[in-house]
Amino acid sequence: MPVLTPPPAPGQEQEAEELPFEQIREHVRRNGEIESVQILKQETRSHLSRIKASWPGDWSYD
Amino acid sequence: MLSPDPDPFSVLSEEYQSAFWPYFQVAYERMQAYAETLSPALRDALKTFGPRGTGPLPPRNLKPHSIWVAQFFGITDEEVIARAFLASLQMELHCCLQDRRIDGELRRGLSLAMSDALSNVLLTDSLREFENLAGHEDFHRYVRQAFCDLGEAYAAEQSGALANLSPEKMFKAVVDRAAPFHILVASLGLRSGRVSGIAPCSSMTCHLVMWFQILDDATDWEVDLSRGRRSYLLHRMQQFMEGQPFGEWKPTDVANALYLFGGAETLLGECVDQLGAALAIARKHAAPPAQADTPESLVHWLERFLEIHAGARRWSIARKWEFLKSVAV
Repeated sequence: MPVLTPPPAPGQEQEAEELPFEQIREHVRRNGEIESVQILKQETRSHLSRIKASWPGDWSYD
Repeated sequence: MLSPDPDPFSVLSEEYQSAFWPYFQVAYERMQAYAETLSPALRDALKTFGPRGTGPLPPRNLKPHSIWVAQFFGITDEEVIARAFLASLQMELHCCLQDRRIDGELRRGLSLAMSDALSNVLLTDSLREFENLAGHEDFHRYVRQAFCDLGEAYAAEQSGALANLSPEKMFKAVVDRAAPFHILVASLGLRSGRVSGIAPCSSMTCHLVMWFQILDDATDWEVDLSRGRRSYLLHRMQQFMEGQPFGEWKPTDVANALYLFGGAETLLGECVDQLGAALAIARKHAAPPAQADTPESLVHWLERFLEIHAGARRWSIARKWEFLKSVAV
């Protein structure tokens, strides 16, 4: 398991403009899609879907 | 573990339905009455829009564009709003039939010929009502422009030029597809006499269209990818695909880019930017009804949408930091 840079203190993510994505990419590169990665992926997918699903109708024009 | 993702979305949805339900109910009833004026064959064709063929469009699926645009121009006459709402619905159903035909996705039982016949009647009736509401000879010019822009947007997509456009031109190619929205704005803007408000209101609607296009692409990207259709979202994923040519993208790689490597958060950030731009225009140019402290006001809802998307982005980033912490232990 690679040693990862610790995350910023709670609430400081935005201020530091430090984002976790390159570390996640590196983690996936080294470890593959382990179960916890798959869960994280599914959570983000549901998160996006729920935002759209909460609005009525289809607002798009394609 | 972060507490389960708080579900502000369902709360917001209830609040939204509650604020607009009376308008939606009226629009639904008028649409039902309109359906009765159609010939039997077209009435049956119109039913293909409803759930299980009961159409057209249940009230829960309606949206408040007409109410907000009326507010923007200071129009409070409920009869005018109801007429604009019905004309908007007719126009959207017309566009929807056209899109289904273009995409080869007509509902079972609806022939191409019937789809065209219904589409023509909807367009005719919608434009007549919008023109009556506008009461101004310039209305024709706005409609023509909206459909010309739509044609240019289709052409940009068809030619594959979209990938090479500047961000500004790509934005225009996406938002120019919203002809029904622009026609609604022109009609109510001319009616209100606040002609100088038409351009800012159209600009505001462009930001709203862009915002929702991002969310829409986020749920449809797998279909778009399988068809080789480079939607706006897939364009924006390029930066996360490590130089892979579009033709070689696999669904798993795109899913990783979108859900793990920053795609979702980038797009939510764009949603926040689009909503922020729309809100700034509304605050600067919209008439008092749009800025009032009421459950249905435009500014109130733009603020709510903005807040919810910014929160969604923060949550998603925090969840990923938490993941990293958990795997580092």
